[in-house]
Amino acid sequence: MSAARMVFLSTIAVLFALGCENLGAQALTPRVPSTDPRPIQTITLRDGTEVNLKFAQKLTSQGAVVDQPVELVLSDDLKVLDYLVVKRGARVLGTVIAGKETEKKRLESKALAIRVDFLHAGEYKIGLRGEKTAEGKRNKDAMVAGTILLGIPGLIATSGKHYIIPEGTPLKAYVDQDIELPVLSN
Amino acid sequence: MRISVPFGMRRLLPYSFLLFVAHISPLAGACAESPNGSYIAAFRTPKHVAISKPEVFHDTVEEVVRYLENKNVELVSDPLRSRIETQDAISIDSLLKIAKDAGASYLLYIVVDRPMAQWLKVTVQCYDLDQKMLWQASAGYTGAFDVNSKKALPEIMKKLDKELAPRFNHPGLLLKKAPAAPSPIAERRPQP
Repeated sequence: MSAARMVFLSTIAVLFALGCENLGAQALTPRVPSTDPRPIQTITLRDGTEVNLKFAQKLTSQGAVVDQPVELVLSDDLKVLDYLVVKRGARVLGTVIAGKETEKKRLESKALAIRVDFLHAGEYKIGLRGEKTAEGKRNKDAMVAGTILLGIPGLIATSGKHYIIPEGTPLKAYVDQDIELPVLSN
Repeated sequence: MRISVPFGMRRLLPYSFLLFVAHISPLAGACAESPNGSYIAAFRTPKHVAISKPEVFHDTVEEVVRYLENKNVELVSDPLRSRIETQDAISIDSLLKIAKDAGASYLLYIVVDRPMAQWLKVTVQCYDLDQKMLWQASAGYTGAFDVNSKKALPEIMKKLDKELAPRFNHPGLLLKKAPAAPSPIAERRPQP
């Protein structure tokens, strides 16, 4: 190998090593807040916006206890105009508000209702309310629409015995108040 | 054009490659993500619901969690809610999403059962975030008639200990990292 070639290759290697050192420093040091004057693009998610959810767990009138948290997920991307603000699959938490009063009770509750609390998107908690119904399914495979207790904000309810809301059951909720959210990349 | 390199410099040229390797290795370490701890969720089987009491279920889960904490296993809690201890099943897929959301790398799924032939049975299943079950450990207790499921718990914990002990510091039961000790150089620094 000629000396010139060796010098050239060595220079490249040293420069690359120095560059990597800078990269390493970037990876290891905490991120300093950007001084970029341009703000992150945000958009307002309006009160009353319809949000499609689905149950991420099974819920039964035999097992659900009042004040127990309920897991749901966002079933469709949430968009404002064409801007994506929350991606599908984001967690939603609800609370059982009608069910067994205590876990010790053997008899199952006569009503099953949940309140949808909030949608968790990164550092944001988006308040939700619901006033539509979820479909319950009787134990004996007889489909029954649980359409009791309509019109009470934040309530999704079924009434009767042996009610089961299977995981994946869809329901709708609504944004509870205006909130400013950053626009996400698609 | 020819560039002449002094002989002494020529001898140093191969070392530049060593310099390159020495600089690239910490970068590789920084890029590799270290796994986090485990998220715990517990399920009470329908048989346990039918025959046993909810207190037994919660006490059993509490005992297993306490055991893991005493062994210094890194456990991740969910900032949004209390630990899931349910008799209404939640799919592993949903639990793994919650675990991921909480920042965990593994799910420890504790199943508390009451089979016909046993007073109590505890199964611990470990999943990674790709829904793959990495391992499971279970312990049951078949005692005399004067035993009940509450009395069976200490015996079950002894059996679980035998099964879980070899798994410590392996996926699912990673131990908490000790806080970094102050460097001796810093300690020796003269005080102003």
